[in-house]
Amino acid sequence: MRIAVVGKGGVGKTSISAMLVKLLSENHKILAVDADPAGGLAMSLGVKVKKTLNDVREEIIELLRQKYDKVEIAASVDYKIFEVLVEGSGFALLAVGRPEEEGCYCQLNTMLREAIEILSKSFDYTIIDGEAGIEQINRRVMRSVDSLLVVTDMSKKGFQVAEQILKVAKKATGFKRAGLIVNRVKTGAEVEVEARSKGFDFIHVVPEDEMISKFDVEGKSFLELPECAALKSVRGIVGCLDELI
Amino acid sequence: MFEELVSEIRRFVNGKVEEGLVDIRDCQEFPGWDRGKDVILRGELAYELGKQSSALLLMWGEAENRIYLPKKNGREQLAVIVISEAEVDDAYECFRAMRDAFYSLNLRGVTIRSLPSHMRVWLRVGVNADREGFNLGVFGRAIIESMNSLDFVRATDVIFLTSKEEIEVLKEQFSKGKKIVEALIKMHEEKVLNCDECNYSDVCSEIPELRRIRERMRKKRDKG
Repeated sequence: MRIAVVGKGGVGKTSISAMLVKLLSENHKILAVDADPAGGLAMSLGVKVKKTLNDVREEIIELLRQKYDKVEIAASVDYKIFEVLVEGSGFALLAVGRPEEEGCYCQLNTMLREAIEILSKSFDYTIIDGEAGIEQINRRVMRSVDSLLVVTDMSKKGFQVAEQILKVAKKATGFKRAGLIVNRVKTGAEVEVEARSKGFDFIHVVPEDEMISKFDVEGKSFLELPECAALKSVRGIVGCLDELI
Repeated sequence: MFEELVSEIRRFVNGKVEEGLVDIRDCQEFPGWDRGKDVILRGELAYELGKQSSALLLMWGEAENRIYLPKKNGREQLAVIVISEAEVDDAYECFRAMRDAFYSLNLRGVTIRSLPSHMRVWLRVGVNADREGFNLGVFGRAIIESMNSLDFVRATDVIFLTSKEEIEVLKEQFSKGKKIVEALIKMHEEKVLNCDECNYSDVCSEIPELRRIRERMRKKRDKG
């Protein structure tokens, strides 16, 4: 199953993604895709990225200049993507790096997307930590996701962006189910969430949790996160995803 | 095209057989293996070969569906030498078909990645596959089956080397094999038939078959 975690900048997409990887990797094989050029997911999972998909792309462009044929390029894409996977316990991370430029390399971009799609078939779950906003959805990077998790905080802007993302995703991707994850919700504000959310298949509230802020501030790996209110709540999202299978 | 190279490699490997360091086995001694594209992560890894250093040669010459296996396995390096007995009408198409057959080989519980442009191969064997009996012999049989499924191939031999020292001894042969293939590809894909403009003229001067191919292509171009 391919899950994309998207939303406005600063709403906690990466924390949610990291917690999903932590929980799902206990019993499943996970491919974590850090699609945010800022690259926060690697840090949240306590791994270091040496090379990104964009580096692979540049190496392949070099091969294209030497006029290698399609099979050669496909084999190289496969080999090099496997080479840049950063492995953790129960998961592998692929960092996208700088966003792709379409232009004259659109065939290569398609090949890279297809290679990731094929790669993800060897994993039980693929979790894509998306770039902030709707750009990535527009570029059809998320074309083949099964579930869309749109994260927002309680800000009006957050909800607006979430609705916009849903609208664009309906046109640009083939997702089967979309959930709204309202992050950092203070006790008592849950009722307000229901009133402000429209069009999603499910809504899930993740409470404000000091433990998450502490891990964020200290740059600690979320894989070491002890049981806390936010993690307990994210377990509920995993439950919603399991219902999809 | 590969006669000299094949005979040099055979001479070296036969020496190892005489020393009792390499076994010659019939491919039928090993079980067939299901196809499937898997990604083996570190946590489920039994062993991997070729990550740091590897070599891959796809050539043609005499073959008898045999697998040459090192008696003592190294645990890091990997060289795979594939020699197919083939009816070669078009050397370029023949090489491409063999390369495609090798590249599309995927086996259940194992990750195989090859980098044809660098003639590299990387093998990761999962714990389950290892437990179920996957080994280089099984890999060899799968390679032989893939190559022999090509209609111009009659038989295939596969030689595996996993010792750093042995691979080092054949370094020159691997480099020469890579250059022959690169020259062949360059000739066809870039249509460089003027030796003064080509970086591979030294290889072509050495390999008569490459010279013949170049002449054939040049005549065809002049007629056309």
